Amino acid sequence: MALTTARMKFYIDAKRCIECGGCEVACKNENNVPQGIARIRVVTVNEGQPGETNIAVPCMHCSKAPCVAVCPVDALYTRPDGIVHVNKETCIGCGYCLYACPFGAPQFPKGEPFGARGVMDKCTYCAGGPDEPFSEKERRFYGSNRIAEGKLPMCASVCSTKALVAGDAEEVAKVVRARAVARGSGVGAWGWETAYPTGPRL
Amino acid sequence: MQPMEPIVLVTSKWGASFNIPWYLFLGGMAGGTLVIAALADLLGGKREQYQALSRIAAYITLPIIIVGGLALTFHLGKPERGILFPIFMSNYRSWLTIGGWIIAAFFPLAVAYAVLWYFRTGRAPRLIVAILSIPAGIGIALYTGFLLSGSWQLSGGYWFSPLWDTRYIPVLFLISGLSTGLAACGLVALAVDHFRHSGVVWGELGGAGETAGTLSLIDTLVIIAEASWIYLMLAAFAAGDVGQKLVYGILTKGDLAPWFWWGVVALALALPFLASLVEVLLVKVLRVPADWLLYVKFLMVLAGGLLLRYVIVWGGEIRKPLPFPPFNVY
Amino acid sequence: MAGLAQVFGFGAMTNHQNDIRNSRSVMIIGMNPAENHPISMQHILTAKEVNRAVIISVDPRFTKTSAFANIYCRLRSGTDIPFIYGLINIILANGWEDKKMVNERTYDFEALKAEVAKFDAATVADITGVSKEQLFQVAKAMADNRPGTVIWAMGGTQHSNGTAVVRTYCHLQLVLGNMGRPGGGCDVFRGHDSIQGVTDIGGGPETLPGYYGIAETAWKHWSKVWDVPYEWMLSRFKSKEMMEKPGFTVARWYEGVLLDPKELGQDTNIKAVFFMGHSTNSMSQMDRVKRALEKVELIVDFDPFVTNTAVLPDRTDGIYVMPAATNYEQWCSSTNTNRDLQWRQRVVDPVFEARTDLAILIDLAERLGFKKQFIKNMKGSWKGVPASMKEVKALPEQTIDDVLREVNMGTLSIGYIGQTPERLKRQQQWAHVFDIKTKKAVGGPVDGEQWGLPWPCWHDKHPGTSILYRTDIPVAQGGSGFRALWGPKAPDGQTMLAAEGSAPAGGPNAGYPAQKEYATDLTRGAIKEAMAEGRHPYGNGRARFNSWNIPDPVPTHREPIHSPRPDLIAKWPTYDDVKEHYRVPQPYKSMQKPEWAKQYPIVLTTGRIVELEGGSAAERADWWLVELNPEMYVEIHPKLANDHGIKNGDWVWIESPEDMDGKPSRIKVKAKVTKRVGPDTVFLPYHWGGVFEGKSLASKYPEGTAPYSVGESANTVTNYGYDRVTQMQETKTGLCRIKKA
Repeated sequence: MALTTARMKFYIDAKRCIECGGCEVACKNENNVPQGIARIRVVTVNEGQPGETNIAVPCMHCSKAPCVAVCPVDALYTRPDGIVHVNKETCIGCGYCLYACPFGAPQFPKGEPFGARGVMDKCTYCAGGPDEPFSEKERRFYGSNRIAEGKLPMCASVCSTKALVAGDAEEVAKVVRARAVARGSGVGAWGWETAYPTGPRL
Repeated sequence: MQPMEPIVLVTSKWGASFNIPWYLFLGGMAGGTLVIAALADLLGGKREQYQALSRIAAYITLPIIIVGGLALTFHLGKPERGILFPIFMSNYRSWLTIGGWIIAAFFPLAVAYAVLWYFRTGRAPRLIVAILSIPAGIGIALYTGFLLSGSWQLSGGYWFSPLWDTRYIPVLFLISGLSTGLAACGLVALAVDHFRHSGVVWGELGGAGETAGTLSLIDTLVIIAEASWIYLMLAAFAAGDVGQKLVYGILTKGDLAPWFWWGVVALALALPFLASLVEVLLVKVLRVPADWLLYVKFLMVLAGGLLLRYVIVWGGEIRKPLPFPPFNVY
Repeated sequence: MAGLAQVFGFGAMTNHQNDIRNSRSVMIIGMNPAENHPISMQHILTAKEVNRAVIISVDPRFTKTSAFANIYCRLRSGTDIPFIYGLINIILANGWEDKKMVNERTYDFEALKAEVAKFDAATVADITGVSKEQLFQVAKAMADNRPGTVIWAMGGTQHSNGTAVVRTYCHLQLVLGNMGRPGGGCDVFRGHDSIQGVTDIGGGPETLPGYYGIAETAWKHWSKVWDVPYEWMLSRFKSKEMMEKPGFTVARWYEGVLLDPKELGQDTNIKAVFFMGHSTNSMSQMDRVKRALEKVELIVDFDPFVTNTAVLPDRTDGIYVMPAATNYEQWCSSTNTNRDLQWRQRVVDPVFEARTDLAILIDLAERLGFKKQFIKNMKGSWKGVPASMKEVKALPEQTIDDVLREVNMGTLSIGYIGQTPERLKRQQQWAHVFDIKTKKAVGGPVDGEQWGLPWPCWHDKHPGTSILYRTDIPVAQGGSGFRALWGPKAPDGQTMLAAEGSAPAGGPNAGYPAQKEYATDLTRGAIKEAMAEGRHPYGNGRARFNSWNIPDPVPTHREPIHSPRPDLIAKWPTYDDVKEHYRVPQPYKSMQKPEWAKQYPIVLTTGRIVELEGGSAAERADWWLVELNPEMYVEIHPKLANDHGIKNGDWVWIESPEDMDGKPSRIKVKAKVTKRVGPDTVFLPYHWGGVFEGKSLASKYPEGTAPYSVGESANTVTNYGYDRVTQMQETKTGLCRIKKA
């Protein structure tokens, strides 16, 4: 265990994900996410053909998060432990973050006329929001706060093949390294370079 | 094993409703009309038709920017928070914040210019406003481009929406803003002249219609510049990285191709250019009045300018694919 | 299961899921673990990554599992036996077989050789559609990378010759010498939670708990355990003959309602049907099920959710829908696919009017007048059972403990002895000390125990047998030979005991018969005696290539009843008609009509998808799962779709040939055009219900209980066909035609 500050990361192993959908359902159940919003979803390419690959895409909580850079009202911010949060009480719902994000993480409620579509919702790394931990308000606005309970995000906890690994950068890097060694090459870490460009390069 | 297809995560917000494309269109056009008003005022001297043109341009700027501003405000998920942007917007790295202040500067100028014309306060105060209006107008037209392309390049070198390229889009929107501004002014000037003959409109606006030919000529030059710029942009995309190539393909051969070729290239560029040629031919050679052709041309430029914004906004959904790690054989 | 039992002696997965981490080759045939057993993929992928194991996927569909395979073979549905025999043929031709295993631990290898010789690579390619080169590639991969495991599930068993198919898988593993070693084995993955437990506890109609059968000795043994006189037990039945006659199976119970009693193996029709956690949309011949549900006098459906059963029949009376508690609302032990027992804690009290399974059953016994006998065993009555079960929703934990103790008392045959409630609860507390690869505890009070104490677990100190038929360790640590179930000699006079040199370490180094009366000696003296000598109580016998006591002693290929190849039907016909099988007549040859291949040219296969499970009354009532997979669909290859003018998302009719009614069936579903299936096959997930032949039944659900998603049940069009031994339904191979709706 390192004595430096924790830095939370996701490792999406494109060679392990079997598209069971456990992360999607567990996330919705844990955070009580409304219909149509997908804080994490599994994308499949080449379905039914050789080379079929699945990737679970949550918010990656990038080290230099582009969404944070473009947010005009600083509703998006990076916590000291690297988790990117949105403050739903200051978000103006402009959608700028959606266009800046390479992962399509920001979610907006759909379907109302004249663009009055509420504020942005995104993966919280199961760490609640800027409000008081475990408060009713936090629960209603952002969902559960498993990080404050010392637990990992729900999606990674239920992943059936350990394709989605969450945790402190050093711990995650250990997993990535172990898999790289076992496989000889190719850790399958989709999106890693994009989200954590200054992190340990593998 | 076959190499993997890159993944494109398509998400949609701005392209799904009319707000943002219309705002980009109207904002650019407002910038164009205010610049025209100022230039006509400054360069036209005391010639009556240019005074009338300046006045018309100043007047129409106002509704255009109001409608555009409302479209921008109401695309927000929380419009009430957007209106209070000076309080809320604190991130000066974001072009939305910068743009908020540009609009904040532009709008009083546009109001002042129209008011000064309306109350005919004399030339001196108007000239000060006119001089200030030129950078404001260019600024707002450029800003509509930066609003999109601001998400293109961030510290750290992220390039995710290849079409929204800072090197091309702001200038393109500036040129298109001028072009549509010219078309809007020309259209209204012609119409006002038309109705003046029927005695509906005030006399002070009269004579502006005589400038329509000049406006059309300048517009044609702007259109040539716009076409060249689009050519430059596409040529760069065609030779660019994987994301730029993807956008190039989608724009010229893919889903957006009909909108791009018919809506932008034909409606905004080729047909107006052709119309200008024919108009010149009719008026100068055959000595046949051809105002109707100018109407058609201006309308086409406006429609094409709007479709340009739609195509660019839709095209922004195309992200640079995140590559897969190389595949290995177990 | 029956297939495994007929070869090795026990109908159970021989190794465990974690043990796949030791494998160097993994053949996944007739199964899709990525959708149906997602956690097991962790072990399979670890084997692939760490051991460089070759993953071979054999399936008519390119499944989500096939996406992770190194070799994928597209097999015509129902042709597993030629495929496996083709592999064995190549293995034998190249001398890759494990001679020690075959000579010392198996019976009648010559018979298998003779049968296998018929299946040269060209024949196999013609029948299965797998090319010669690919067949050789698979055989070589399996031979070069030992130990290897063969994993299968319903894709192997749901055929008219399913038992024979399973036996060939076992034969392949015997020939390769992969039995009884870590990383090898025959790993059949059971389809539901605790289904292995249900089988162990006598869920089938042909046996009492512990696979004792239903002959007089079995009844006497269990009467002793239950502390009731055998005569009293006998008096509950109409006659001794009926007492010892297997009952109906879940696959064909409805024939007992519909057919004339003269055709049945009993005097009367079935009058009442009691469902407990079972959904009718997982049974084939849905139109006949519907008619039976309309004709039967009484239907009781115990389930946490309102199932298809409640809405399928057109009747307004005589159907009772009762709320049952879920597994979170009761304590229990549950047995997973590899025989591991695990203690389950109750999370909440039963909600609303729900009652636990045990409360329901004791109450039923009380109302039928034999509660006293029901809750009694030779050590007294279950503790904590109230005098009157009225209004009782759940029983205390000590009652559940006593039920498990009763199982420990009587189920000696499979060594279901050491899994006491105390040990299971202790393992639950110490779950973290078990090694992920071997499932063995390291240190702590559970030191040396296998996780889940998989049976046979002969006494309170025995660690359990996580890998069956393993001879390199002593019996006391979980070693064993093949079960000497069929006596010391085969009918042809050859020995059925293992040869010298092949026996669990530490005991006599040769074959020996089962300890006398080890399964019925309730003092457990026989077992103790055997253990003391280092011998295995059930003996050390030979696995059988020739199972002389069942149809097709040496498995041979038989075309599915609904085969798309009339030319092959002539050469490899199905079985002769059977007059009575589990009390119902079971035609084979008379149902196999070669002309159907012309009218119904497309192979129909069914299966599961990851979001839903079984009849799926619960999952389709969950918005988040329905959001992921909202509608019933059929998977069609682009070529087939284009030939029929069908686009992705179009409605299509699927029509299947007539079954025993002489009436064809059809369903209306949406098309999903995908290359997962081949151009000759369509695939249907079977989870949906609530729509019958184009008509929605959603309005028939009691108010507020309709699931979010209703759809046609695939089993409306699955064809007639049942396994010759177990009566498992043939839902994996059928014929159909499609047309645009």
